[in-house]
Amino acid sequence: MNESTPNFDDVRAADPVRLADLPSASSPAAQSLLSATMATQVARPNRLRDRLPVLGAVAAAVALVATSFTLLAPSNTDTALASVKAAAQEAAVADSGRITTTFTIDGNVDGATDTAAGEVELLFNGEDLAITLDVNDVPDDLQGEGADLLEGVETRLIDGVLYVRGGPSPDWIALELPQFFVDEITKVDPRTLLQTIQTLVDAEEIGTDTIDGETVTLYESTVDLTDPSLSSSGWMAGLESQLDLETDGTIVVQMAVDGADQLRRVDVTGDLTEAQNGEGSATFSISTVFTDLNNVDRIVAPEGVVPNSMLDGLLEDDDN
Amino acid sequence: MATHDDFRQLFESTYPQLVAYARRRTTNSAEADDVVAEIYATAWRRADAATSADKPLAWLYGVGRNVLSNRRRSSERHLRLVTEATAAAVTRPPVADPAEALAIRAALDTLPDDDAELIRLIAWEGLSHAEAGDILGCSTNAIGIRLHKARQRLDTALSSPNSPSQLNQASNQ
Repeated sequence: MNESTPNFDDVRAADPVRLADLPSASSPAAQSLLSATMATQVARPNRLRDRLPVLGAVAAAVALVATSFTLLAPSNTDTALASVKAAAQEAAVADSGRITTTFTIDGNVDGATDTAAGEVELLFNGEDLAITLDVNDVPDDLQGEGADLLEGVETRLIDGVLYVRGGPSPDWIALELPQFFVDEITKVDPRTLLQTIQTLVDAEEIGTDTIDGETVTLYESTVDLTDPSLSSSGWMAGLESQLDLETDGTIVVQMAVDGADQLRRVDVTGDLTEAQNGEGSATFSISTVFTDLNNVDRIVAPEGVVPNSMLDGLLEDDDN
Repeated sequence: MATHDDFRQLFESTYPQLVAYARRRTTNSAEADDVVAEIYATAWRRADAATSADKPLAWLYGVGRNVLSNRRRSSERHLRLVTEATAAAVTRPPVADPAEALAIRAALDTLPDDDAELIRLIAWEGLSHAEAGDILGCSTNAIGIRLHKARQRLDTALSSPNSPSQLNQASNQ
């Protein structure tokens, strides 16, 4: 093989699949699949409150924010936008930091409202993670159904051991996790959202604010979820499919950048409505604050807690 | 409102490409069939969106990406997939120069997931940069940059002393 960068003809030729070898759409197997698929009863869409219980709503909102940044961006030399991107990049490449997110979600279904609110704090240093979750306003639907599991939960993942405390358990417990499971967890990069800010299409300087006594410049960007370039996006479609949710609405993103060009806070507010039948709607507000960037050295395990290997055999990789 | 005929048309215009997409990312045809069935099941539930999409195949690839991601997450299958994918690279039918194809596929398997997926979408699924950007959630410009870096990493992987191409060269000397 030529040792220089392989050209795409080489890569194409390495395709393990040949279309000529594939079954056609008229093959018995394909027609059987088509019949079976179309014979499936299409489930009536769940109502918004069923689809968006606490964490699902947060995930949906955050994911939609991320999606909103994927609008195709022409080259843009706007000063405000450049400032935001530079600040976001600064935070995105941080090796460590603390990310605190507070959220409030008000849902409305058939005139009845429900609320979820709380705070998630994530501490990372490139090796270990610590996550604190506190949902202090739990939707009625979850009251008495394990809602306390979401109150004041602390977790730390250190050297492959997961430490958990909170909810119904005031004492720390420690579980040894298989390495592949740790790998899966640590794939979640808390800076992904910041990286997506790099593709913002526009931002406008709207004023100043104060964070911890320091003056910060506020920038704002508005995203219309009905924008055709979003609705036609396969990525967006995949996300909506995963969440089983179709959305309309507008998201407003405010970003606060300090005098050192550091992104200090991202505030996101928006409205979501069910695009399909309009049965429900939700208003959400999410505020994320970045602190201690590149300044978190160690995440310490709770003292005197002996790791338990109770998960052995339950989460083993099939081949081992 | 999408009709049965609309969905049938979508199915018949995309089925072979979707089977190919699934087989390229799974270790055997049975698993690929499961993935295809899941994608179409989702498309059927979302028939209006699926049949009215500007680029239905890209829309289905977007669903497929999540289906595959969910399958990896929901079971402890990821490591097994990597192991089996390596083995499968050996057993898959050779295309063009077998050693070269094997080396490229093995090198692809060593790349970060996003890099490998981008190269597969462009080279094997034949998507444009814009279409790949839709699926991966980034701009056309970003795709160009990421593709350039991915190809550099592929080159590095192929030049690694442990890559099949290098081992093959060594054994021939």
